[in-house]
Amino acid sequence: MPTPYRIHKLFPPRRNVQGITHPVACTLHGILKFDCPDSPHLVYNEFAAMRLAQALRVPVADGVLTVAADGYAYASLEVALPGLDLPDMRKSDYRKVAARYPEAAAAILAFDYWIGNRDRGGNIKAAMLSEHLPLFRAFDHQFALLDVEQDPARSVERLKSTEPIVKFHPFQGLVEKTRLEQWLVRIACLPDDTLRNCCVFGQAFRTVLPETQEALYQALSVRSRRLSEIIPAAAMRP
Amino acid sequence: MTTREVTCWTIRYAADPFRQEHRNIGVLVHGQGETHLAMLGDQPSGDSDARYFCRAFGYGEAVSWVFREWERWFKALAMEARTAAEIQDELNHLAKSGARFDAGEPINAIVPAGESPLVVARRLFGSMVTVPKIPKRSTFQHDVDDTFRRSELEFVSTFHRDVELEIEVPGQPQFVRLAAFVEAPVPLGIKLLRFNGRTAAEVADQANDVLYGFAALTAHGILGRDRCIVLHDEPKARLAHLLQRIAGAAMLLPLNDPETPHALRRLVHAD
Repeated sequence: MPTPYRIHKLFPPRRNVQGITHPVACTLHGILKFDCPDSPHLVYNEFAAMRLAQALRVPVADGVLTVAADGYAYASLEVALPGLDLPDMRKSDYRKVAARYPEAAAAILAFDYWIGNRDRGGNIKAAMLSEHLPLFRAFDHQFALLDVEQDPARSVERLKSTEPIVKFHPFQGLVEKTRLEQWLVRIACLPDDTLRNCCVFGQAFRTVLPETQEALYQALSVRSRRLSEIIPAAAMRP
Repeated sequence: MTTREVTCWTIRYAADPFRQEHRNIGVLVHGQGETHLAMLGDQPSGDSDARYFCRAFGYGEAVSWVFREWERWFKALAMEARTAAEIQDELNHLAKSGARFDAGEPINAIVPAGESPLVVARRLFGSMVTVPKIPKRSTFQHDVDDTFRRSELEFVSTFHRDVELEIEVPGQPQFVRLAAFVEAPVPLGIKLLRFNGRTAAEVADQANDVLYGFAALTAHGILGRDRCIVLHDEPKARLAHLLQRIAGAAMLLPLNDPETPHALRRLVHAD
Protein backbone atom coordinates (compact mmCIF):
# COMPACT_ATOMS: atom_id res chain seq x y z
CA MET A 1 0.00 0.00 0.00
CA PRO A 2 1.67 3.25 -1.07
CA THR A 3 2.08 6.09 1.42
CA PRO A 4 -0.55 8.78 0.72
CA TYR A 5 0.72 11.85 -1.10
CA ARG A 6 -0.45 15.25 -2.22
CA ILE A 7 0.42 17.13 -5.40
CA HIS A 8 1.38 20.81 -5.13
CA LYS A 9 1.75 22.94 -8.24
CA LEU A 10 5.10 24.69 -8.06
CA PHE A 11 3.86 27.84 -9.77
CA PRO A 12 0.35 28.45 -8.42
CA PRO A 13 -1.82 31.00 -10.26
CA ARG A 14 -1.97 34.54 -8.86
CA ARG A 15 -4.58 34.86 -6.18
CA ASN A 16 -5.03 38.59 -5.85
CA VAL A 17 -8.51 38.53 -7.30
CA GLN A 18 -11.85 38.75 -5.52
CA GLY A 19 -14.28 35.88 -5.05
CA ILE A 20 -14.04 32.37 -3.72
CA THR A 21 -13.52 30.88 -7.20
CA HIS A 22 -11.07 33.65 -8.25
CA PRO A 23 -13.00 34.80 -11.31
CA VAL A 24 -11.38 37.27 -13.68
CA ALA A 25 -12.79 39.32 -16.52
CA CYS A 26 -11.78 38.14 -19.97
CA THR A 27 -12.28 38.85 -23.66
CA LEU A 28 -12.99 36.10 -26.14
CA HIS A 29 -12.45 36.15 -29.90
CA GLY A 30 -15.34 35.47 -32.22
CA ILE A 31 -16.77 36.09 -35.67
CA LEU A 32 -19.65 38.58 -35.53
CA LYS A 33 -22.47 37.84 -37.96
CA PHE A 34 -25.48 39.89 -39.04
CA ASP A 35 -28.62 39.39 -41.12
CA CYS A 36 -27.73 40.00 -44.74
CA PRO A 37 -29.45 39.91 -48.17
CA ASP A 38 -28.26 36.34 -48.87
CA SER A 39 -29.45 35.15 -45.46
CA PRO A 40 -32.06 37.59 -44.14
CA HIS A 41 -32.61 35.57 -40.94
CA LEU A 42 -28.99 34.71 -40.26
CA VAL A 43 -28.91 35.71 -36.61
CA TYR A 44 -32.03 33.70 -35.78
CA ASN A 45 -30.83 30.69 -37.81
CA GLU A 46 -27.42 30.63 -36.17
CA PHE A 47 -28.79 30.99 -32.67
CA ALA A 48 -31.60 28.46 -33.08
CA ALA A 49 -29.28 25.96 -34.82
CA MET A 50 -26.77 26.23 -31.98
CA ARG A 51 -29.48 25.64 -29.38
CA LEU A 52 -30.80 22.63 -31.29
CA ALA A 53 -27.29 21.22 -31.67
CA GLN A 54 -26.51 21.76 -28.01
CA ALA A 55 -29.74 20.06 -26.96
CA LEU A 56 -28.64 17.01 -28.94
CA ARG A 57 -24.89 17.24 -28.22
CA VAL A 58 -24.10 17.73 -31.91
CA PRO A 59 -20.60 19.29 -32.06
CA VAL A 60 -21.13 22.80 -33.43
CA ALA A 61 -19.09 25.89 -32.61
CA ASP A 62 -20.25 27.74 -29.52
CA GLY A 63 -21.75 31.15 -30.03
CA VAL A 64 -23.49 33.95 -28.19
CA LEU A 65 -26.05 36.60 -28.95
CA THR A 66 -24.81 40.12 -28.62
CA VAL A 67 -26.09 43.55 -29.53
CA ALA A 68 -24.40 45.43 -32.34
CA ALA A 69 -25.53 48.08 -34.81
CA ASP A 70 -29.32 47.76 -35.20
CA GLY A 71 -29.97 44.94 -32.74
CA TYR A 72 -29.01 41.36 -32.13
CA ALA A 73 -25.93 39.93 -33.82
CA TYR A 74 -24.50 36.44 -33.48
CA ALA A 75 -20.91 35.95 -32.36
CA SER A 76 -19.51 32.56 -33.26
CA LEU A 77 -16.59 31.84 -30.94
CA GLU A 78 -13.26 31.00 -32.54
CA VAL A 79 -12.38 27.31 -32.42
CA ALA A 80 -9.04 26.36 -30.79
CA LEU A 81 -7.15 29.20 -29.10
CA PRO A 82 -7.78 32.93 -28.71
CA GLY A 83 -6.56 34.63 -31.87
CA LEU A 84 -5.54 31.41 -33.50
CA ASP A 85 -8.40 29.30 -34.74
CA LEU A 86 -8.16 26.08 -36.72
CA PRO A 87 -8.29 26.07 -40.53
CA ASP A 88 -11.48 25.00 -42.30
CA MET A 89 -11.62 21.40 -43.45
CA ARG A 90 -10.25 20.90 -46.99
CA LYS A 91 -12.05 18.78 -49.60
CA SER A 92 -9.23 16.27 -49.53
CA ASP A 93 -9.77 15.85 -45.77
CA TYR A 94 -13.43 14.76 -45.83
CA ARG A 95 -12.56 11.08 -45.66
CA LYS A 96 -9.78 11.54 -43.08
CA VAL A 97 -11.98 13.68 -40.83
CA ALA A 98 -14.86 11.18 -41.05
CA ALA A 99 -12.45 8.38 -40.14
CA ARG A 100 -10.93 10.28 -37.21
CA TYR A 101 -14.25 11.61 -35.87
CA PRO A 102 -16.86 9.00 -36.91
CA GLU A 103 -19.34 9.94 -34.19
CA ALA A 104 -19.15 13.67 -34.94
CA ALA A 105 -19.41 13.05 -38.69
CA ALA A 106 -22.57 10.98 -38.20
CA ALA A 107 -24.02 13.63 -35.87
CA ILE A 108 -23.43 16.48 -38.28
CA LEU A 109 -24.73 14.53 -41.29
CA ALA A 110 -27.99 13.73 -39.49
CA PHE A 111 -28.27 17.27 -38.10
CA ASP A 112 -27.74 18.92 -41.49
CA TYR A 113 -30.47 16.84 -43.11
CA TRP A 114 -32.76 17.72 -40.24
CA ILE A 115 -32.27 21.50 -40.37
CA GLY A 116 -32.02 21.53 -44.19
CA ASN A 117 -28.49 22.89 -44.23
CA ARG A 118 -27.55 23.21 -47.89
CA ASP A 119 -24.16 24.77 -47.20
CA ARG A 120 -22.04 22.46 -45.04
CA GLY A 121 -19.13 22.19 -47.49
CA GLY A 122 -15.89 22.75 -45.62
CA ASN A 123 -17.54 24.58 -42.72
CA ILE A 124 -15.94 22.30 -40.18
CA LYS A 125 -12.82 22.75 -38.08
CA ALA A 126 -11.10 19.57 -36.97
CA ALA A 127 -7.71 19.03 -35.34
CA MET A 128 -5.89 16.37 -37.32
CA LEU A 129 -2.38 16.24 -35.90
CA SER A 130 -2.67 15.88 -32.13
CA GLU A 131 -3.78 12.39 -31.24
CA HIS A 132 -4.89 13.27 -27.73
CA LEU A 133 -6.56 16.56 -28.49
CA PRO A 134 -9.75 15.72 -30.35
CA LEU A 135 -11.45 18.88 -31.55
CA PHE A 136 -14.27 18.93 -34.09
CA ARG A 137 -16.70 21.81 -34.56
CA ALA A 138 -19.13 22.54 -37.37
CA PHE A 139 -20.09 26.15 -37.99
CA ASP A 140 -22.20 28.37 -40.29
CA HIS A 141 -25.89 27.58 -40.33
CA GLN A 142 -27.16 30.63 -42.15
CA PHE A 143 -28.45 28.67 -45.15
CA ALA A 144 -30.64 26.35 -43.10
CA LEU A 145 -33.90 26.58 -41.13
CA LEU A 146 -35.67 29.79 -42.25
CA ASP A 147 -33.21 30.46 -45.08
CA VAL A 148 -33.53 27.18 -46.95
CA GLU A 149 -35.36 29.52 -49.34
CA GLN A 150 -35.45 33.32 -49.44
CA ASP A 151 -39.03 33.24 -48.16
CA PRO A 152 -39.27 31.84 -44.61
CA ALA A 153 -42.79 30.45 -45.19
CA ARG A 154 -41.49 28.51 -48.20
CA SER A 155 -38.51 27.31 -46.11
CA VAL A 156 -40.88 25.95 -43.47
CA GLU A 157 -42.94 24.21 -46.15
CA ARG A 158 -39.85 22.49 -47.55
CA LEU A 159 -38.73 21.42 -44.07
CA LYS A 160 -42.16 19.93 -43.46
CA SER A 161 -41.89 17.86 -46.65
CA THR A 162 -39.81 14.70 -47.14
CA GLU A 163 -37.42 16.53 -49.46
CA PRO A 164 -33.75 15.95 -48.50
CA ILE A 165 -32.92 19.65 -49.26
CA VAL A 166 -29.22 18.79 -48.75
CA LYS A 167 -27.76 18.20 -52.22
CA PHE A 168 -24.18 17.59 -51.20
CA HIS A 169 -22.61 16.78 -47.86
CA PRO A 170 -18.90 16.27 -47.09
CA PHE A 171 -19.65 13.10 -45.11
CA GLN A 172 -22.02 11.66 -47.69
CA GLY A 173 -21.26 7.94 -47.96
CA LEU A 174 -18.59 8.11 -45.25
CA VAL A 175 -20.74 7.41 -42.20
CA GLU A 176 -21.73 3.95 -40.98
CA LYS A 177 -25.42 3.16 -41.26
CA THR A 178 -25.78 1.95 -37.66
CA ARG A 179 -24.04 5.03 -36.28
CA LEU A 180 -26.21 7.37 -38.36
CA GLU A 181 -29.34 5.52 -37.30
CA GLN A 182 -28.47 6.12 -33.65
CA TRP A 183 -28.39 9.85 -34.36
CA LEU A 184 -31.69 9.70 -36.23
CA VAL A 185 -33.23 8.09 -33.16
CA ARG A 186 -31.72 10.72 -30.90
CA ILE A 187 -33.16 13.53 -33.06
CA ALA A 188 -36.57 11.81 -33.28
CA CYS A 189 -36.62 11.40 -29.49
CA LEU A 190 -35.92 15.06 -28.71
CA PRO A 191 -38.90 16.05 -26.55
CA ASP A 192 -41.25 18.50 -28.23
CA ASP A 193 -41.03 21.01 -25.39
CA THR A 194 -37.23 21.06 -25.65
CA LEU A 195 -37.45 21.48 -29.41
CA ARG A 196 -39.96 24.29 -29.01
CA ASN A 197 -37.71 25.91 -26.44
CA CYS A 198 -34.85 26.00 -28.96
CA CYS A 199 -36.91 27.67 -31.70
CA VAL A 200 -39.55 29.82 -30.04
CA PHE A 201 -38.58 32.90 -28.07
CA GLY A 202 -42.03 34.25 -27.17
CA GLN A 203 -41.42 37.52 -28.98
CA ALA A 204 -40.19 38.79 -32.32
CA PHE A 205 -36.54 37.93 -32.86
CA ARG A 206 -35.26 40.60 -35.21
CA THR A 207 -37.55 40.11 -38.24
CA VAL A 208 -38.68 36.62 -37.24
CA LEU A 209 -42.20 36.84 -35.87
CA PRO A 210 -43.40 34.50 -33.08
CA GLU A 211 -45.77 32.70 -35.48
CA THR A 212 -42.86 31.97 -37.85
CA GLN A 213 -40.83 30.59 -34.94
CA GLU A 214 -43.79 28.40 -34.00
CA ALA A 215 -44.20 27.19 -37.58
CA LEU A 216 -40.52 26.30 -37.74
CA TYR A 217 -40.76 24.32 -34.53
CA GLN A 218 -43.70 22.35 -35.88
CA ALA A 219 -41.94 21.67 -39.18
CA LEU A 220 -38.82 20.43 -37.38
CA SER A 221 -40.94 18.25 -35.12
CA VAL A 222 -42.52 16.56 -38.15
CA ARG A 223 -39.17 16.30 -39.97
CA SER A 224 -37.42 14.77 -36.95
CA ARG A 225 -39.72 11.74 -37.15
CA ARG A 226 -39.35 11.34 -40.90
CA LEU A 227 -35.58 11.72 -41.14
CA SER A 228 -34.94 8.05 -41.83
CA GLU A 229 -37.06 8.26 -45.00
CA ILE A 230 -35.59 11.67 -45.93
CA ILE A 231 -31.91 10.74 -45.86
CA PRO A 232 -31.00 8.90 -49.06
CA ALA A 233 -29.47 5.45 -48.67
CA ALA A 234 -26.36 6.68 -50.51
CA ALA A 235 -25.61 9.05 -47.62
CA MET A 236 -24.44 6.18 -45.42
CA ARG A 237 -22.33 3.11 -45.84
CA PRO A 238 -23.46 -0.30 -44.67
CA MET B 1 19.45 33.05 -70.47
CA THR B 2 16.11 31.32 -70.94
CA THR B 3 13.46 32.28 -68.43
CA ARG B 4 9.98 31.26 -67.43
CA GLU B 5 7.13 32.66 -65.40
CA VAL B 6 6.05 31.47 -61.97
CA THR B 7 3.24 32.68 -59.74
CA CYS B 8 4.05 33.54 -56.12
CA TRP B 9 1.97 34.35 -53.09
CA THR B 10 3.15 35.50 -49.68
CA ILE B 11 1.49 33.64 -46.80
CA ARG B 12 0.65 36.09 -44.03
CA TYR B 13 -0.67 36.20 -40.51
CA ALA B 14 -2.35 39.12 -38.75
CA ALA B 15 -2.27 38.77 -34.97
CA ASP B 16 -4.81 41.57 -34.53
CA PRO B 17 -7.48 41.79 -37.23
CA PHE B 18 -8.38 45.36 -36.26
CA ARG B 19 -4.87 46.64 -36.95
CA GLN B 20 -4.73 44.70 -40.24
CA GLU B 21 -0.96 44.49 -39.96
CA HIS B 22 -0.11 41.34 -41.84
CA ARG B 23 3.30 39.84 -41.43
CA ASN B 24 4.76 37.51 -44.03
CA ILE B 25 5.33 34.01 -42.71
CA GLY B 26 5.78 32.02 -45.88
CA VAL B 27 5.93 31.91 -49.66
CA LEU B 28 3.98 29.73 -52.06
CA VAL B 29 5.36 29.34 -55.58
CA HIS B 30 3.61 27.65 -58.51
CA GLY B 31 5.17 26.91 -61.88
CA GLN B 32 5.33 24.07 -64.39
CA GLY B 33 2.54 22.21 -62.67
CA GLU B 34 4.28 22.04 -59.29
CA THR B 35 3.81 24.09 -56.19
CA HIS B 36 6.26 24.61 -53.35
CA LEU B 37 5.87 26.16 -49.97
CA ALA B 38 8.49 27.72 -47.71
CA MET B 39 7.19 28.48 -44.22
CA LEU B 40 8.56 30.08 -41.11
CA GLY B 41 10.20 27.36 -39.01
CA ASP B 42 11.14 25.08 -41.94
CA GLN B 43 14.26 23.16 -41.03
CA PRO B 44 16.86 21.71 -43.42
CA SER B 45 15.91 18.27 -42.07
CA GLY B 46 12.39 18.71 -43.45
CA ASP B 47 10.95 19.13 -39.95
CA SER B 48 9.25 22.29 -38.83
CA ASP B 49 9.93 24.29 -35.69
CA ALA B 50 6.82 26.15 -34.53
CA ARG B 51 8.89 28.20 -32.06
CA TYR B 52 9.66 30.68 -34.84
CA PHE B 53 5.99 31.43 -35.40
CA CYS B 54 5.33 31.70 -31.66
CA ARG B 55 8.34 33.97 -31.23
CA ALA B 56 7.35 36.19 -34.19
CA PHE B 57 3.92 36.94 -32.71
CA GLY B 58 4.66 36.77 -29.00
CA TYR B 59 2.70 33.57 -28.42
CA GLY B 60 3.61 30.97 -25.83
CA GLU B 61 4.73 27.67 -27.27
CA ALA B 62 1.49 26.08 -26.09
CA VAL B 63 -0.19 27.47 -29.23
CA SER B 64 2.21 25.73 -31.58
CA TRP B 65 -0.20 22.85 -32.24
CA VAL B 66 -2.61 25.20 -34.00
CA PHE B 67 0.21 26.59 -36.16
CA ARG B 68 1.06 23.02 -37.12
CA GLU B 69 -2.53 22.47 -38.22
CA TRP B 70 -2.28 25.55 -40.47
CA GLU B 71 1.04 24.44 -41.82
CA ARG B 72 -0.56 21.13 -42.69
CA TRP B 73 -3.38 23.04 -44.45
CA PHE B 74 -0.96 25.05 -46.62
CA LYS B 75 1.19 21.97 -47.37
CA ALA B 76 -1.92 20.09 -48.49
CA LEU B 77 -2.82 23.02 -50.74
CA ALA B 78 0.68 23.00 -52.24
CA MET B 79 0.57 19.25 -52.78
CA GLU B 80 -2.91 19.02 -54.25
CA ALA B 81 -3.30 22.14 -56.40
CA ARG B 82 -2.57 21.60 -60.08
CA THR B 83 -2.96 25.15 -61.39
CA ALA B 84 -2.42 28.71 -60.18
CA ALA B 85 -6.15 29.34 -60.64
CA GLU B 86 -6.96 26.46 -58.30
CA ILE B 87 -4.62 27.90 -55.65
CA GLN B 88 -6.11 31.36 -56.08
CA ASP B 89 -9.59 29.93 -55.69
CA GLU B 90 -8.69 28.30 -52.36
CA LEU B 91 -6.91 31.43 -51.16
CA ASN B 92 -9.95 33.56 -52.04
CA HIS B 93 -12.08 31.21 -50.00
CA LEU B 94 -9.61 31.48 -47.14
CA ALA B 95 -9.76 35.30 -47.26
CA LYS B 96 -13.57 35.20 -47.16
CA SER B 97 -13.54 32.89 -44.14
CA GLY B 98 -12.12 35.65 -41.94
CA ALA B 99 -9.08 33.60 -40.90
CA ARG B 100 -6.03 35.44 -39.63
CA PHE B 101 -3.87 33.46 -42.02
CA ASP B 102 -4.17 34.63 -45.59
CA ALA B 103 -2.18 35.27 -48.76
CA GLY B 104 -1.10 38.42 -50.54
CA GLU B 105 -1.99 39.22 -54.15
CA PRO B 106 -0.40 36.83 -56.66
CA ILE B 107 2.85 38.04 -58.19
CA ASN B 108 4.04 36.80 -61.56
CA ALA B 109 7.82 36.53 -61.49
CA ILE B 110 10.29 35.80 -64.27
CA VAL B 111 12.91 33.30 -63.09
CA PRO B 112 15.73 31.38 -64.78
CA ALA B 113 14.25 28.39 -66.62
CA GLY B 114 16.44 25.93 -64.77
CA GLU B 115 15.39 27.12 -61.32
CA SER B 116 12.80 24.85 -59.68
CA PRO B 117 9.81 26.32 -57.82
CA LEU B 118 11.35 24.94 -54.61
CA VAL B 119 14.53 26.97 -55.11
CA VAL B 120 12.47 30.04 -56.05
CA ALA B 121 10.32 29.59 -52.93
CA ARG B 122 13.39 29.41 -50.69
CA ARG B 123 15.00 32.41 -52.38
CA LEU B 124 11.86 34.53 -52.10
CA PHE B 125 11.36 33.38 -48.51
CA GLY B 126 14.82 34.74 -47.68
CA SER B 127 13.94 38.17 -49.04
CA MET B 128 10.29 38.41 -47.97
CA VAL B 129 10.10 36.79 -44.54
CA THR B 130 11.86 38.04 -41.43
CA VAL B 131 12.92 35.08 -39.30
CA PRO B 132 12.99 35.90 -35.59
CA LYS B 133 15.96 34.93 -33.49
CA ILE B 134 15.39 32.16 -30.98
CA PRO B 135 17.45 32.66 -27.82
CA LYS B 136 19.98 29.84 -27.58
CA ARG B 137 19.70 29.51 -23.84
CA SER B 138 16.10 28.37 -24.09
CA THR B 139 17.08 25.26 -26.03
CA PHE B 140 17.01 22.88 -23.04
CA GLN B 141 13.60 24.08 -21.89
CA HIS B 142 12.38 24.02 -25.47
CA ASP B 143 13.57 20.43 -25.89
CA VAL B 144 11.73 19.45 -22.70
CA ASP B 145 8.54 21.26 -23.82
CA ASP B 146 8.85 19.77 -27.27
CA THR B 147 9.28 16.28 -25.87
CA PHE B 148 6.15 16.64 -23.75
CA ARG B 149 4.25 18.07 -26.70
CA ARG B 150 5.35 15.40 -29.15
CA SER B 151 4.62 12.67 -26.64
CA GLU B 152 1.17 14.31 -26.24
CA LEU B 153 1.41 13.77 -22.49
CA GLU B 154 0.11 17.27 -21.94
CA PHE B 155 -3.25 16.13 -23.28
CA VAL B 156 -3.46 13.29 -20.73
CA SER B 157 -5.88 14.35 -17.99
CA THR B 158 -3.71 13.05 -15.14
CA PHE B 159 -0.53 14.74 -16.40
CA HIS B 160 0.94 17.49 -14.18
CA ARG B 161 3.92 19.74 -15.06
CA ASP B 162 6.27 21.17 -12.43
CA VAL B 163 4.93 19.69 -9.23
CA GLU B 164 6.08 18.90 -5.75
CA LEU B 165 4.83 15.66 -4.24
CA GLU B 166 4.30 15.75 -0.52
CA ILE B 167 4.71 12.23 0.85
CA GLU B 168 2.47 12.22 3.88
CA VAL B 169 4.62 10.40 6.42
CA PRO B 170 3.00 11.25 9.82
CA GLY B 171 5.04 13.94 11.57
CA GLN B 172 7.79 13.76 8.94
CA PRO B 173 6.49 14.72 5.50
CA GLN B 174 8.93 14.42 2.63
CA PHE B 175 8.90 16.57 -0.49
CA VAL B 176 10.03 15.57 -3.96
CA ARG B 177 10.06 17.92 -6.93
CA LEU B 178 9.26 16.54 -10.36
CA ALA B 179 9.32 18.08 -13.81
CA ALA B 180 6.22 16.05 -14.56
CA PHE B 181 4.00 13.48 -12.93
CA VAL B 182 1.39 11.25 -14.54
CA GLU B 183 -0.91 10.13 -11.78
CA ALA B 184 -2.92 7.36 -13.46
CA PRO B 185 -3.43 4.66 -14.51
CA VAL B 186 0.04 3.78 -13.15
CA PRO B 187 2.01 6.69 -11.66
CA LEU B 188 5.02 7.89 -13.64
CA GLY B 189 7.53 10.50 -12.43
CA ILE B 190 9.87 12.55 -14.61
CA LYS B 191 12.92 14.51 -13.46
CA LEU B 192 15.36 16.53 -15.54
CA LEU B 193 19.12 16.42 -15.68
CA ARG B 194 20.81 19.30 -17.46
CA PHE B 195 24.51 19.20 -18.31
CA ASN B 196 24.94 22.11 -20.71
CA GLY B 197 25.26 25.49 -19.10
CA ARG B 198 25.72 23.94 -15.64
CA THR B 199 28.83 23.58 -13.52
CA ALA B 200 30.08 20.17 -12.39
CA ALA B 201 28.82 20.88 -8.87
CA GLU B 202 25.37 21.85 -10.13
CA VAL B 203 25.14 18.69 -12.22
CA ALA B 204 26.22 16.60 -9.22
CA ASP B 205 23.50 18.29 -7.12
CA GLN B 206 20.90 17.52 -9.78
CA ALA B 207 22.06 13.89 -9.92
CA ASN B 208 21.82 13.57 -6.14
CA ASP B 209 18.38 15.11 -6.20
CA VAL B 210 17.30 12.55 -8.83
CA LEU B 211 18.64 9.68 -6.71
CA TYR B 212 17.12 11.00 -3.47
CA GLY B 213 13.75 11.86 -5.01
CA PHE B 214 13.19 8.59 -6.81
CA ALA B 215 14.48 6.59 -3.83
CA ALA B 216 11.88 8.25 -1.61
CA LEU B 217 9.04 7.74 -4.08
CA THR B 218 9.87 4.09 -4.71
CA ALA B 219 10.43 3.38 -0.97
CA HIS B 220 6.92 4.67 -0.25
CA GLY B 221 5.38 2.64 -3.08
CA ILE B 222 4.31 5.72 -5.03
CA LEU B 223 6.41 4.85 -8.07
CA GLY B 224 7.68 1.55 -9.35
CA ARG B 225 11.38 1.59 -10.23
CA ASP B 226 10.52 1.23 -13.91
CA ARG B 227 8.29 4.33 -13.64
CA CYS B 228 11.12 6.72 -12.69
CA ILE B 229 12.22 8.66 -15.78
CA VAL B 230 15.10 11.09 -16.28
CA LEU B 231 15.14 13.33 -19.34
CA HIS B 232 18.64 14.62 -19.99
CA ASP B 233 20.63 16.55 -22.58
CA GLU B 234 23.99 15.53 -24.04
CA PRO B 235 26.35 14.79 -21.08
CA LYS B 236 29.80 16.29 -20.93
CA ALA B 237 32.39 13.50 -21.14
CA ARG B 238 33.86 14.19 -17.72
CA LEU B 239 30.41 14.03 -16.09
CA ALA B 240 29.02 11.07 -18.02
CA HIS B 241 29.68 8.80 -15.03
CA LEU B 242 26.77 10.51 -13.26
CA LEU B 243 24.40 9.04 -15.82
CA GLN B 244 25.76 5.58 -15.08
CA ARG B 245 25.13 6.17 -11.39
CA ILE B 246 21.52 7.15 -12.05
CA ALA B 247 20.91 4.35 -14.55
CA GLY B 248 20.29 1.86 -11.73
CA ALA B 249 17.60 4.05 -10.19
CA ALA B 250 15.78 5.44 -13.20
CA MET B 251 15.19 5.04 -16.92
CA LEU B 252 17.32 7.50 -18.89
CA LEU B 253 15.79 9.13 -21.95
CA PRO B 254 17.96 11.54 -23.97
CA LEU B 255 16.18 14.69 -25.13
CA ASN B 256 17.96 14.61 -28.48
CA ASP B 257 16.69 11.14 -29.33
CA PRO B 258 13.67 11.29 -31.68
CA GLU B 259 12.44 8.03 -30.10
CA THR B 260 12.06 9.64 -26.64
CA PRO B 261 8.54 11.13 -27.14
CA HIS B 262 7.31 7.78 -28.46
CA ALA B 263 8.91 5.96 -25.52
CA LEU B 264 7.13 8.29 -23.08
CA ARG B 265 3.83 7.83 -24.86
CA ARG B 266 4.22 4.05 -24.73
CA LEU B 267 5.05 4.18 -21.02
CA VAL B 268 1.87 6.10 -20.24
CA HIS B 269 -0.52 4.32 -22.55
CA ALA B 270 0.72 0.74 -22.33
CA ASP B 271 -0.83 0.40 -18.87
